[in-house]
Amino acid sequence: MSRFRAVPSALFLLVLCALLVTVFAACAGDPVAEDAVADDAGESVVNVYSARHYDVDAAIYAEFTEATGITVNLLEGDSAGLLERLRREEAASPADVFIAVDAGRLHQAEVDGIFEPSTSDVLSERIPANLRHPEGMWFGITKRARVIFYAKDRIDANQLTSYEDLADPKFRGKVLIRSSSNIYNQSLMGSMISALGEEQAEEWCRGLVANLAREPQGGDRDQLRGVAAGEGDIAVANTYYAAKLAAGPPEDQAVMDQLGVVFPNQDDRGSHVNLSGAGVVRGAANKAEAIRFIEFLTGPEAQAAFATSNKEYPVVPGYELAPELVAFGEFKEDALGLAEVGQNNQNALMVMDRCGWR
Amino acid sequence: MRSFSTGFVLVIAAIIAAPVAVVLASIGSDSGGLWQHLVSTVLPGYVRNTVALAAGVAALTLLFGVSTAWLVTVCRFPGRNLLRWALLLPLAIPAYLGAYAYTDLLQFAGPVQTWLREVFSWSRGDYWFPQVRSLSGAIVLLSLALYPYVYMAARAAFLEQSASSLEAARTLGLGPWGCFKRVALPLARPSIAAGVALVLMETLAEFGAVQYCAVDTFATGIVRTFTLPNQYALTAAAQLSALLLVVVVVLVVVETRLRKSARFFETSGRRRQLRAWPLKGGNAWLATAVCALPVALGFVIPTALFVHLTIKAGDARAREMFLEMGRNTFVLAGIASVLAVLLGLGLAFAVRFRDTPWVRFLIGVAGMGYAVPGAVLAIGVLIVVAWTDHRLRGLVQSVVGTPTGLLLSGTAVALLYGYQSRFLAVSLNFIRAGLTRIEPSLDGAARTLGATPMMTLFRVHVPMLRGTLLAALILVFVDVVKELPATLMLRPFGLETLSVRVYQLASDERLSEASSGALAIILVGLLPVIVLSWVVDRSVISKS
Amino acid sequence: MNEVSPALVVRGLCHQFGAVSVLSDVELTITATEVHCVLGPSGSGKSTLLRLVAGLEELQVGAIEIAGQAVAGPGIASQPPEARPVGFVFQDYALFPHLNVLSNVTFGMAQSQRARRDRKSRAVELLAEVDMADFADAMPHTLSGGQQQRVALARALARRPAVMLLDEPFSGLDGRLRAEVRERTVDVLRSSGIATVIVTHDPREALLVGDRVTVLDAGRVLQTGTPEEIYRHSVSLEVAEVFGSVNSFTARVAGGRVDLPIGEIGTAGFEDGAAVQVLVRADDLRLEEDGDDGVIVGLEPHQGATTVEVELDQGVVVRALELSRAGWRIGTRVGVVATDGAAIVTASKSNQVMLDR
Repeated sequence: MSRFRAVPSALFLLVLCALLVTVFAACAGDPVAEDAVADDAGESVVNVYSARHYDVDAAIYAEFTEATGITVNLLEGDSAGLLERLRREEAASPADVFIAVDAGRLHQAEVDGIFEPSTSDVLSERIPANLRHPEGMWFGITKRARVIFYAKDRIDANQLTSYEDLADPKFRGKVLIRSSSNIYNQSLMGSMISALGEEQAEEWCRGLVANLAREPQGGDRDQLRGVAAGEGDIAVANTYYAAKLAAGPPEDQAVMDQLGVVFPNQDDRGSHVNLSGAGVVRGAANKAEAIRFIEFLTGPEAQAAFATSNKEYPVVPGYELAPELVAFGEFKEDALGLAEVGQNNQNALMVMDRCGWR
Repeated sequence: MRSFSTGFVLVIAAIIAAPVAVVLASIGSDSGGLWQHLVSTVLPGYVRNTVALAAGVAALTLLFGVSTAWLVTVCRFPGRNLLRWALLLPLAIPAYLGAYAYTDLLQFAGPVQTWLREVFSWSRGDYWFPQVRSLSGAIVLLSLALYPYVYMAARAAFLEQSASSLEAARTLGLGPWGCFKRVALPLARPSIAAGVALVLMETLAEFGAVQYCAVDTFATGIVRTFTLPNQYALTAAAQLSALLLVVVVVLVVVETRLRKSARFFETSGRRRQLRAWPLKGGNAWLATAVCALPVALGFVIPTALFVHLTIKAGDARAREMFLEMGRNTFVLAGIASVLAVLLGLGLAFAVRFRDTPWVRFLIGVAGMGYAVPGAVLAIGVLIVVAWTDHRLRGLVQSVVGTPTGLLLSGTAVALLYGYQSRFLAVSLNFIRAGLTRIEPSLDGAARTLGATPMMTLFRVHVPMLRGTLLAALILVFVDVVKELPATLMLRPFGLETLSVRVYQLASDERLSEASSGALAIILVGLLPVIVLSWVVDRSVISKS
Repeated sequence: MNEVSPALVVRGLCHQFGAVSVLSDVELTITATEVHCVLGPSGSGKSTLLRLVAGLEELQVGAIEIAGQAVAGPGIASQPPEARPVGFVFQDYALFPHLNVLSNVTFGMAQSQRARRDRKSRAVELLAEVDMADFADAMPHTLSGGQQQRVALARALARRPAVMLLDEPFSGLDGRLRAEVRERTVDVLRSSGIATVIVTHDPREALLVGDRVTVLDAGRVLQTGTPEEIYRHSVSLEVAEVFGSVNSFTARVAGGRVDLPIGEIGTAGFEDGAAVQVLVRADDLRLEEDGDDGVIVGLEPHQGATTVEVELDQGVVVRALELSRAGWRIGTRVGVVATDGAAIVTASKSNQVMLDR
C-alpha cells in the first residue's frame, strides 16, 4: 500500500525526466542548429545578425540562397543586443555579417572593432562613397530620410521649411515627435549639433520641446496618425513609415491623405538621412560568402525590393521607387558624414535630456 | 549532508546570480560623465515614476486580487464557479500585449475616441478621455496583468483557513465583512504580502508595457541607457541597475520577514471546508460584477481585439507561426519550467536542511534576477556565457590543438540559463512557501522511520507539494512564453518564438499583424493557466 | 538485569541553543524492556534530550549508545536519524497528511526485504493492536487526536526499534480519554518488550507509568529511580516538590534525631551535630482535633481533600493535606503529627539551621 502511494510521486518524477530528455533530444536534432556549425562540411552558409525586422528581408535572403546556393542563417534582434553579443563573442562569433539600421550603430560597431575591412569592386562601384566606409568596414544598403509631415488644412507649408522651424514659437503646442530614446531622433539631434553647434542645437531642442503637443509617445506612425486625428499639426517621421501608411488599409490611407510632406532644409544642407548598412564581422569564417551576401543586398533584385516593398530609398541610384515615395518627390540629402553623427550621439542624448525631451 | 546542502546552494545560487553580479561589477568603471549626466537630468524622474508605478500597482492588484479571492472563496453568487478559475486568465496575456491592445483601442486616433467624436461631434479639447499612454494607464495595465498573483496567494490562504476560526468569529457576532477584516485578512496577510512582493518585482522589471505607455521608470531608463550607441552605455546602465537592486534587496528582506512571521503550520486537527455564504439580489449581482470586471478588462477585451484584428488583417505567416514558433515556444518553456522546478526544489530543500543566514542570503541573491529588466539580465548572461566559452575554447585548444567554435553562446543552453536566472525566483518562492506549511515534525517522523533526507524529499515533501510544484511549473512556463528581451538577445540562429515574432511586427509598428502572434501567445499560455486554476482549487483541499 | 546491554545509554550530555544551555551533564541508562519516564516542566530540556537520542538534533557534547552500539559521541561519526534503531512518537503525532493510515504505518518498513503483502499484514496487525484496524483506509485529518496518537504509535513500532521515544504523547488529549489512551499505550509497549522513554510534564503520569523515572529540571538530572524511590526518598526539596506540597525543616541532629515543631524525627545515618533538611509531604501530616500545636490560618479545598495551613506556636506555618471533610475552620486550634517513617531526611545544603535562632 505504501508502494502504491509512492507511485504518483515516482511517476511525476519520471514524467519530468522523460520530458527533459525528449526536449533535449528535440533541440539537439534541430536542423537549424546543425547548419550553424556545419560551415566546414562543404555546404556554404552565411551567418547573419540583423537588426532589421522586415518581412521583405526574408524573401530577399531566400532569393540569395536560390541564386548562390549559400544558406542564410539568420538571427534578428534589436541592434544594441546584437552588438553586445558580437562584442562578447569576440573573434569566435559565428556571425559573418552584421546588419544595423542606423548610422550611429554602424559607427559604434566600427569603434568596437566588430567589423573587418573588406574590398569588393562590385560594392565600391555600386555604392556612392559617402554611403560606405572608406576602408570597407561597412556598406550602406538602404537610406531613409527623417522628414516633417503637416496637416494640410492647418499649416501653411511655406512657414515650415526646415528642422529649425520646428522650434519656432509660432508652432507652440503643435508638434508631435517620438521619444528621445529612439535612435532615429538621437541621430537627427546629432546632425543638428553638427549643423548648428552644440549651444545653438540645445536652444533649438528647447524650442522643439516647448512646441510639443504632448509628451513624446508611440512610434513614428503614431505621430502621423496623431496629426490626422488633430492631436497636433506637425509630425516628424521616417519616410518609409509614412509611405507604408499611404499604402496601407483605407483608414491609414485616409491619415496620409490629410498630410503633406516637407523635406526640410532644401535651401541649405539638405534633409537628414539615415542609413541601414551591413559589414563583415571580424574573423568571419565565411568571409567570401559574407561579401557575396552584401553584394547581393546591393544588387538589382534586393535594391528594387527594398525600394518597392519596404519603401526605403535604395543606396544604389537608378532603381524605381515605390509610388508613395515618388509622390513625396525628390529631395536634397544632408551630406553630413555618418561617422560624425555617430560621434555626436552622446552629446545629442545629453542635450535632449537637459531639454526634457523624454 | 549539511556541508553538501551548503555547497549545493552555494554553487547553484552563484551560477544563477552570476549574470546580475557581472552587470553590477561594472559599476566601478568610468562612465565618461554619462552617470553624472543621468543623475542630474533624468534620474529624479525615474525615481518618481517608479515609486508611483509600484505603489499604484501594489494598491490596485491588492484591490482586485483580495476582493475577488474573498468573494469567490466564501460567497455564492451567479457565475462564481466560472469566475473562480477565469480570474486567473489574465496571466496568459503579457502586460505589453495588453498595452498594445488598449492603446490601439483607446488612443486619440483609436476607434473608441474617433467614434465618440463622430457621435457627439466633439473635437480635440472638447472632452476628457483617460490616456492609456500615461502613468495611470501603465498602473491599470500592469495591475490587470499581475493581479492574478495576488488573487492566487489570497485565495490559497483563504481556502487554508479552517472554517472553525471563521465560525468562531461569527458566534462572536461578526458579520461577513467583520470576519473578513478581523479574521480572514489578518491570517492571510503574509501570503498576500508575498503575492504583492512578486507583483512588485515584476513591476520593477517591466519594460515593454511601461515603455509603451510612455512612462520613464528605472527599467526603461536602464534599457534606454544600455541601448545607446556609446562605449559607456553598459557601465551607466549597470549603475542604474545597481540602484534598482538596492530597492529590490529591501523588498526581499521585507518579504522574508513577512514569510518568517507567517510560520504557522497546518494543525493536525480536523479541518472542515468553508461553507459558502449565499448572497442575495443586488449584492449577488454586485459580486458578479466585481469579479467579472478584471477578467473582462484583463482578458476578454484584449483577446477579442486580437481575434478581431487577426481576422481583419492577420500575419501572413500565421500558419507557420502557429506550428513552428508555437512548438519552439512550447519546448523552451517546457524545459525551462521543469528545470526551474527541479532547481527550486533542490534549493528550497537545502534551505530547510540548513537554514543559516548565509544560505538564506545566497537564496535571496539567486532570486534577484526576477526584478531586473530582462534586457539587463540577458547582457549578464551574455557576459558570463561568453567568458565561460572563451575559457572552454582555450581548454579545448590546449588539449586538442585546434580551436572550436563557441560551445554555449548562441545555443539553447545560454537561453535556458537566462530563463533560470530570471524565473527561478518564481518557483523558489512558491516551493519555499509550500515547504513552510509542512510541519518540521514530519521530517523528523520520516527520518526516525528510516528515511534518508533524499527519501524524505521524495516520499514526503514532493507528494505533499504536488500541487505547489505544478503551480510553480505552470507559472514559470507562462512567464517564459511571455518573455521577450532575454529570448531576443540570447536565442540561437533561426530560433523564433511567438514573442519574438510579435516584437518584430510591433517594432515595425504593424500592430494588426502582430495580433496573430499575440493570439498564439495567449493560446499557448491558456491551457496551463486553466490547469493552474484547477490546481489552486484542489491542492489546498486534498492537502488537508 | 544487566546481563544484556542496556537499550540506551546517555553519557555526559550537554547541549546549548546559541548561548542558552538546555542540557548539562545528563546521564541516563535505560535497560532493555524498561519503561522510563523523563519528568520535567516545560523548558527543562526533556524534548531536546529525546531529539538528541533520535538524532534529530546534532550532538554537541557527550555520548549516546543504543542497544550496545555507539550512535553519537566523541570520535564517532554521528549516525543520522534514519540509521538509528529508534521509534519516535511526536507530540503532534506528525502523521503524513497525504498518506492514509495504513500507508503511514508501512512508511518505515524496509522496502526491499518484505513483500508488500507481508508489510500490509504486519501493519494491519499493528493497527489491530492499537484498536485502529477499522481505520486502515482513513486519512489522518479525519481522525480524532486519540486515534492519531494510536496510529503514530503503530507507525513507530512497525520498525521494531530498540528504543521507543515518546514526546509528551498524551498531552494533546483530555481527561478520561487521556487515561484510557495512556493505559492502552503502556500495555502495547510493555507487551512489545521494547525499551521506552516517555517524556512528560505530569508527575502523576510519570509515577503511574514508569518502571523508573528521571526528574529533569533546567537541563539537569535531579534524580533517577523507581517511582517509590523518587517519591519516598527524594534527594532534594526540588524533587520532592515536583509531586506536591512539601513541608521543609532544617535542624541539627542530636542523639540520632531532630526535634521539630511537629515532633521528633529519627535521623538514622546522620551524626550528631550535622545539619539536616527534613521533608514531610503535606499528605503525610495528620491534624488532630484535640491537639494543641497551632492554629488553622488557611484552607484550600481540592477535589476530595483540603490543604490546611496551620501556624504552629513556634511561628512556622505547615501545610497538611486532609482527606476527611471534617469541619476545619480558620482559627481552630489543632494538633499536628507526622506519619511514622514518612519524613525524608537529607543533608542540609546550607549550614544555617533555622531553629537555632
